[in-house]
Amino acid sequence: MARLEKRTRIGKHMKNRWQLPSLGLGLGLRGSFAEEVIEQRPQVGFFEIISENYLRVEGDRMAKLEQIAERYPIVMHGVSLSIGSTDPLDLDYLRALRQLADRIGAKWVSDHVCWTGVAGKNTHDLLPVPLTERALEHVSERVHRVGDVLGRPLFLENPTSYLALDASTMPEAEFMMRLCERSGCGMLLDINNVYVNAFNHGFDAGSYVDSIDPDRVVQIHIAGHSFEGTHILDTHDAPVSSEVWRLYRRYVDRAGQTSTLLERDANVPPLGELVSELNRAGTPNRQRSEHAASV
Amino acid sequence: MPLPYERYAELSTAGSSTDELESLQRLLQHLITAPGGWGDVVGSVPPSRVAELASTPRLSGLECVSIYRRMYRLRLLEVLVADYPDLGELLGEELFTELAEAYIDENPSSSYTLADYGAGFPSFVAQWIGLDPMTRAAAGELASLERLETELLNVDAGEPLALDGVHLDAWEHASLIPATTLRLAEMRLHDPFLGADSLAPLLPGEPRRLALCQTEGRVHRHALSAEGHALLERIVAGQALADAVEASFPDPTEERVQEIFCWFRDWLAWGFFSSVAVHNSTP
Repeated sequence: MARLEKRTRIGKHMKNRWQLPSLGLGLGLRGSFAEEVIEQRPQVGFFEIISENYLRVEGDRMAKLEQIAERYPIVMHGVSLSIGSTDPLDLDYLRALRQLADRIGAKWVSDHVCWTGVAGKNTHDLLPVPLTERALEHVSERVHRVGDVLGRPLFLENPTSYLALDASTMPEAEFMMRLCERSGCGMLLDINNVYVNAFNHGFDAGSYVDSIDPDRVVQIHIAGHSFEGTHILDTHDAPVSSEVWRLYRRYVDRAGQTSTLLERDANVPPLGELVSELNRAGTPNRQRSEHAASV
Repeated sequence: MPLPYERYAELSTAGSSTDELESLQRLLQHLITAPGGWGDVVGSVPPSRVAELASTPRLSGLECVSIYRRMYRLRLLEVLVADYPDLGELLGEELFTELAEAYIDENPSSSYTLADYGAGFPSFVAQWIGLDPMTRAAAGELASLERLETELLNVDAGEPLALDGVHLDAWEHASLIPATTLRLAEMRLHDPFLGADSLAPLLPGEPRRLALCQTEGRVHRHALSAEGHALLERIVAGQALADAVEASFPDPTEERVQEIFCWFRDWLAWGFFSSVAVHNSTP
């Protein structure tokens, strides 16, 4: 049983073109339980940090991260790359990102297909890019330049959106796959975001997930959301919904074990509870392994 | 009041290349960040441009953008609430929110990090006309103190100096190196130790002196006497220990000597110093 459990946590290789190994099941590292992670060493495959929380930061926060990085693989997930903005890329930000990635030995760096501001302002939100040929060309060109500065491939997440743009000419899943093809970037597939956008924009979430090429996906996000009546907000403040779990299983049944991260940013429960919820992601594979062993 | 959209667009795109993507982004950002009420902001945008925002199954394009606008303002408000908890308590939630909203209107964020978003808040508070002059001055002073504390949280604390780090005989020739996380402060208008329910000004000429020191990820406020503060100031300025004590107390009583000893014991325990430099007294 222990061996089977280990197999679900640490896969040998994912089906991605970078041959990046599955790191198993991970948690978003939050300050509220960083100390506990250091002291209790929970059974978690990896931790993901929000990059901006550690850029040009010293003190206790950085010291704790470095301790955790000695014991767990760390991946970096940013919210400020603004890859879709028409403003110039922020080279200071990119250099700081690389410095942090080198310092903590980050396994990979990711952000979102979005823009956060223009004309020197920052909305601190992940605003939607129009799903057009022009945007595809614009984002692809910037992905190349970001990769050069970071010295490592970039992985981009499908973001949530609450707004549709009249200019869009293609479905989001097609935009994501064509972006990966054209720019060489990989995808961080956020299953919760697929579900949220499907509700908000009225498309079929299952078809979206089915159209994603596992060769391009290095990591999955799962999270909770909040239903607001007319729309769903990607709040990360609740357990993962049963619909999102079903979508997740639909994807991993086809794609195989992929580094999977549980995000929780508000109403954060005790660490043990988070780990229990995270371990649900390992259940389907474990059941399959047991079944295979008995045949 | 927001600028009329046409004027806003003309100003904001001057000197840069524009295309449809940039134009769309400027439109959205204007709707999300422009100061004033939502109705005024929407009214500043020509209907032809509103048509660029498609409806979703249950919401109009403008209703969709208003979700982003609410979240933008809420996010910045949360930063100020987190950075200025005592000020929030002092003013009360309603007044603090009004103050913060005014700051957000005048200070759109321009950095990827929110760590410094509230850096200009103390000076804004000290000039905000929504407070009476006395409250404004005291609130501005408290905000400055809280800003200093926020800055200290990002400083690497290092290991504090232990009391037994230097032989007793060597103390006379020693200089204490202050911790990077130590700051001295004086409050002239508001006493941060009185609690949030009092706005009573301090008596003129009797400021409340304190030391702020971050240890293990928390910033602590330590009250200091006028004499203790003066001595600590000399040490922080780099004066050798014996010189600093002599300059502060040329002819100390036995009682004063005991008091100084107690201060040093506390200051070391509170992590005020990081190391000690011992000067050789013999040529």
